[in-house]
Amino acid sequence: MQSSKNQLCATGYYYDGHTARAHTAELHVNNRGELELNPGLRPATAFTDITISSQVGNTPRRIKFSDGGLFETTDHESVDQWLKSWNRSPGWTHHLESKMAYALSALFLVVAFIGVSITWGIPWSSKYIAEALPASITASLGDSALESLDKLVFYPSKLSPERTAELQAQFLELLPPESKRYEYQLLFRGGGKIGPNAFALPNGTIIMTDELVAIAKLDEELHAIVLHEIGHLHHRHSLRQIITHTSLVALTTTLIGDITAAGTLIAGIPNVLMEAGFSREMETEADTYALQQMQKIGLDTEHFANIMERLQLATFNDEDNEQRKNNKGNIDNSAADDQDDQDDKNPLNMSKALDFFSSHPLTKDRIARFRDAKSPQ
Amino acid sequence: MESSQELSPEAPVTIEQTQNIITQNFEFHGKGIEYFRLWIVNIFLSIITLGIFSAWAKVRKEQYFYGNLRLGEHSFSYLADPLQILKGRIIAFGLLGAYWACWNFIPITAMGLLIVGVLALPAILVASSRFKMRNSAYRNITFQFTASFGDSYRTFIKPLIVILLLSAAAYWLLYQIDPETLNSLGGGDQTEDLPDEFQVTPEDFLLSVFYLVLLPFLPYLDYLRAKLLISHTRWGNQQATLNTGAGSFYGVFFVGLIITIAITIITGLVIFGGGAVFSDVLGNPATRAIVSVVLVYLAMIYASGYWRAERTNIIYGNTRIGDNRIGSALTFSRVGEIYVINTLAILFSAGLLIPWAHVRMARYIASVSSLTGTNIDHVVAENEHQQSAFGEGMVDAFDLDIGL
Repeated sequence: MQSSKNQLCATGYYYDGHTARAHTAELHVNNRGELELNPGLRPATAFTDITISSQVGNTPRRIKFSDGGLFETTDHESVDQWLKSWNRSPGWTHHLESKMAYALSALFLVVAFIGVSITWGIPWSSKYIAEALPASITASLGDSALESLDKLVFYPSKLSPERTAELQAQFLELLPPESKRYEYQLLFRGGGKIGPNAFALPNGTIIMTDELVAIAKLDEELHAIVLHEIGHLHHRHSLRQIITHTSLVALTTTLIGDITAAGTLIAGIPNVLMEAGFSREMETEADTYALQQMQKIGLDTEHFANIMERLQLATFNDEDNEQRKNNKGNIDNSAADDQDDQDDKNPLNMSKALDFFSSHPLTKDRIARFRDAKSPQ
Repeated sequence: MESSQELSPEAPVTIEQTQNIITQNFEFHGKGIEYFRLWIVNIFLSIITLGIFSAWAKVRKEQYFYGNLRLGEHSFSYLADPLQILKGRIIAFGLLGAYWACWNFIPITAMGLLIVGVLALPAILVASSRFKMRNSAYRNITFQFTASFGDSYRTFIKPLIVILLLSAAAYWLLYQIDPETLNSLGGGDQTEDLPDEFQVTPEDFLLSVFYLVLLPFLPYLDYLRAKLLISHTRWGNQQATLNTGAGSFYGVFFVGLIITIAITIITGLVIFGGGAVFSDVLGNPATRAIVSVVLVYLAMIYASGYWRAERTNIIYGNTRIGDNRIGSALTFSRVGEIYVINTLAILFSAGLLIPWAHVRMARYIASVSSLTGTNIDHVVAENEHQQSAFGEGMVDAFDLDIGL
């Protein structure tokens, strides 16, 4: 039977395609290079009239005849020999799948790819896309985010209209001259559980909580915070966060291969603004922007340091809650009570993610940076 | 998206040939390590081809699971053309993108999207079932799915109208409620009057109302879906039928609900009791919170094994194909155990054991599935002419590979 390699013979089942009957059969190549079955269930068939499936694991190989007949065999070796004798490749995919070394290399490369994507690729492309997005999209994105935040988190501001107008007028002075990209606006809201804080939305809206206004001793301190937020907007940070989040969802679903799960995750984007906060790099970028602008317009950088120091105290000193309650009627500080911002002793603190300032670089270092910058003159 | 191993009991069979009634068991011959190699290599190839290879990867994965599923020494086959799958994926991603865009940029259309989505479901169900069946074969005889879009809409239209009317009524009632009461429903702790944009409005409850109304209809809809899918499935000239009513679906639904609640309560008590005993270890509130969440989560996964086991049993255990009937004997305890161990294995291996978990589930389901009836050798393939008549001449373009 092995007189020539073309005489190789594979055993398996033959199904004619008309009935479900299975015939035990032997398939071999005859002298004219045609495929013949033993017993003779079908006429000899030329190589050009068959298709041979590529091997998948140890599942049977399918040799399909153009008239609908099918021969299945698990004798992969014989089938591969025939393919070679006809100068056909047995298929490279199975070759890769059959060797542990290739699988481990693939695993290594996939892990490397995920690592590179998360640390470098996604942030970089987010930045690029954020720069390229037209203003109409960022505007509606910000509007709907504000709408959700108003319903879920914020309370109406209790500042007097005069005070609001005053701060908004000062805000206009702080805007960079080249600020055509956004329609900047400053809004005030009761922070509720969030307490003293400020946010920058993708449409150029900066939100400051009443509690933050209350904690400031001088308006210049609020200016410093506003410049920091403008820094976030200048670098399109919140937009980049949204794109990053979406990309991560896309990446995981692509890898795990479940498209339907993606819809539900993507729907939660407005929350990202609240929960994810900004990365340390982004905070440093915004700080740099604020620092440069303050020096440019002659605002003492000490103000930023001062208000940051007070915010830090307010977010994790219990005594301070009393003071805030006195300052501002019905503020619920419960969520902010035991925040431990300074050192990451307790990484499991789950309410931490709620605190906007928690993802900031070590507050101590940031304060020092603004204090040190004071000297130049 | 149903994973391929769910396919196992959906098998085939036959005709006359009186006398000998035989029972054949399904077997799954896949191996975790073998599938791991296939899985990781295909993920890698999908990545370096920017996702294009994923269609081929999907076909190879299905071929692996079909090919390793055997009934009486004969394997099943998955025949789909990767290009067709690629096309389906491009369409699906387009729809997903549109959905994402609508959700983020025009929130006002949430209602519209919901309606469009619900209205599209029956069509997607038919398109994906057609694709799946036409590309499944056993002994060189393909399966067919013969329902038209019309059949699907006729099946679901009445319950759908009832659900939408009830939702509209509930929604109307919400409008009659005082806005302040509504606000407290929304979880707001404020009592004072708020300007409009801070108020919780009936619109914010739209989805919740819809889901609440939908809930009691779920077993019935599940029954309609199973009935539609099975009673329009053919293998060669053998027609499949589902011989059970909506009642058994409600039974499974409510027993499952009770089991889930009971298991969650028991877990809660165990955590509470354990917390007292091991207060040293679990003293830290954060640790305790995380341990509790994980335990309750695992308990619920275990409980969901009941639904999976019993639902599969009532659907496939009551399915006949021609003269043969499918046997499906999944047990709650085994499925629950497999679910929990698979979940833990996947979590602690950072996903590396996903292939092992899939193979394990497929092997179990096959091992408790069987086919009882007469000899199936005489099942006859149906020709192209008959097939296209069933499908009302739908062209390939309407076949979509979207799992439901």
